Amino acid sequence: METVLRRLETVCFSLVAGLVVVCLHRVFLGVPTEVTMGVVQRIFYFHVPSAWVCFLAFFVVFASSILYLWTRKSVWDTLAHASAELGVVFCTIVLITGPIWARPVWGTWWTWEARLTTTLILYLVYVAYLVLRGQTENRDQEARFAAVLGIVGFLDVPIIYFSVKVWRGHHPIVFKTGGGQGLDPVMLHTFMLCMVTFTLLFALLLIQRFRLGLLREELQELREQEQILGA
Amino acid sequence: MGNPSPMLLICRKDLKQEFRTRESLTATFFFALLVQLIFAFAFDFLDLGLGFADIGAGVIWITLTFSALLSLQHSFLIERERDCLQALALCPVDPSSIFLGKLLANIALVLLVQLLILPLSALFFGYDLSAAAVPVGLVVVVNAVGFSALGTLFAAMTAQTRRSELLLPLLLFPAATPLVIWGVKATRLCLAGRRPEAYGYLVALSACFDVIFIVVGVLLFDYILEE
Amino acid sequence: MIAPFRVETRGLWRSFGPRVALRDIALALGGGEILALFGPNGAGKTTLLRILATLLRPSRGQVLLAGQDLSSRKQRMTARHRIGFLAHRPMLYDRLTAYENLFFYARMYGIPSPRDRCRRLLFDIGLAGREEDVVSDYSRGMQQRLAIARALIHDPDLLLLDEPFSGLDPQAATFLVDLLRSLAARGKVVVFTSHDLGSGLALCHRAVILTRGTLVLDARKDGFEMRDFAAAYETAVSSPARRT
Repeated sequence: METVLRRLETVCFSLVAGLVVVCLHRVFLGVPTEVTMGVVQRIFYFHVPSAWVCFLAFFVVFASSILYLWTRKSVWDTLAHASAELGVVFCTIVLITGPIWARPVWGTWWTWEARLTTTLILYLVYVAYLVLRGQTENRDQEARFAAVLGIVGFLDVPIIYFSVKVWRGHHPIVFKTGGGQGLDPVMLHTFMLCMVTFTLLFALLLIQRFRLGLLREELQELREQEQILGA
Repeated sequence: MGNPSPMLLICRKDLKQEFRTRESLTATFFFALLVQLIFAFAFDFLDLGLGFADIGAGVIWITLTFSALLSLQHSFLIERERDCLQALALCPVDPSSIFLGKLLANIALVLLVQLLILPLSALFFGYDLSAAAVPVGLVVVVNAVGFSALGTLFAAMTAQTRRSELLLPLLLFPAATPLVIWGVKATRLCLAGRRPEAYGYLVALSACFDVIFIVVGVLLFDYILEE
Repeated sequence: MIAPFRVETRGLWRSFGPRVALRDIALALGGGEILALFGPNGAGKTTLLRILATLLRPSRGQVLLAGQDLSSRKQRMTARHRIGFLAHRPMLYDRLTAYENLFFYARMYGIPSPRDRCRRLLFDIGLAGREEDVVSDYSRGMQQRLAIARALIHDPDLLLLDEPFSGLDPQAATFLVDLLRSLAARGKVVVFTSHDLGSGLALCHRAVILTRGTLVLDARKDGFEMRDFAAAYETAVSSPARRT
């Protein structure tokens, strides 16, 4: 498995490296400035893909958790852990880029509207997931409990989103260039490109973090063996 | 066999333990009272010219949420004290019965404190609960069930880990947000004297939430007990 | 003479990822046998006991109880009627009385006429007259007795005890030894772990040593002298385990 992962990683890395360069060029130079929001709107090309990756990451946590409980193979637990960490990272990006975008556009750093609030709550759920992993008594318990939380958390998220929406209004998104209706094609292309880039970036980081997790397990085992033999 | 179901056995056992000393109930009750006191200082109704109706629902729900948390934390602490959870796992009993048994006991204990606090808060803050008593009571019950469902599941985990007092609220509060949102909104509408059509859907939503997470709890509890 | 009730493990492994807690454990015990499980800390003794108690699932291999393979959930559930487990901690409810504790478990195990059984057991265990006292009022020795009663409430065929002698005063220890001997005489299988070679060997019919998850020595006590076994124990514990 290690060799497969390493090959995948190299492929991803080359793709991502290339795509990132192209994206950055397009986002900062290629794409026209949006009419109502100005230059700051360019953050959108990072904010939305980050949000997408964040949800994708948590879906991976959900699926891995189920697979772990079903098969009891520790690799699924390692994958879930890796994905949760990445999810939290990208969630942080969303929560930072959101207010940066909001301030000039809505006049306020934060607002309790549906998507931001849900993202914040989501963030708390997965931070709690990571904290839980640190407080268990043994590795086996950690895997089981994390899996349970991974499943419950993910099932709860759409409900949370729905409830916050009931409570508050909607996420205003307007982006146009010139006077036309709908999304400018150049913007659309750039946006899709950024989505693909971020997804591949996530895949790359996930593979790396996953490999790291596997290595850590082995290292831990070797350390314990050494301790016992040395004693 | 003529034996009562394990679920009821466990529920009765928990309640019996609790009523033997009543320490958790009393502590939780007085805690809720203190929270009300803090609110009285935090929002000086006379000075600020606020009517209770404005933020009353919020006051009630913060009190209820924190007291429910206390009750739930306690329920698994008693199991932990002598590794009783392990003894339960040894019994030839379906884990879902254990979950449901503890759930029922938790709901009872959570509700007991909450239904005692409600009239008291009406007294302190001078609002009329009598007109809205039944609907508010209903909202409280439905939310207590959901909160307890999540809480029972999570507390079973955190009781076996370190820093459980910190971990349980950390897990429970974000997950229970929908209940708090719907509960506060419904209570506010009830206290404002609105008709059932206005808040009925919120109660229904909470009820759905309850069902979903009771089912999820039943399915997943096994994995918390057995390795 | 081996009685019909048997407990067996075949190719038992317990691991998490690269970490192995138990490695290819093969044991066969018959009714009437008392097995002592020795080994340093972290060797996997408790893990093995918990697998036998159905609290843990093996990663590989089988556990057979009276010929029944315990790989399915349903079988593990039924097997629990025949398994008793005594851990470090007493597993008792502090605020309930001794009688209430036993009665609760008696009902959980679905025992017919639970009241009589509880009173009888309390009498046998020497706690008659104190059964209406709350467990938190009990001394350690009394709690241990009650814990034993709890483990035996359903008259299990397999009794597993994790370090039952640690922290026991001599009187309580003697009581336990006599009890285990009488259970074995009735055809039960008893497995216990211990750090004390002396008392452990005195009680058991058979002894095994577990180091780093591997069964390195399985001796019928009759074939070993005490000091030979002690020496074997030292060697087994200090040398690196065979890695298969």
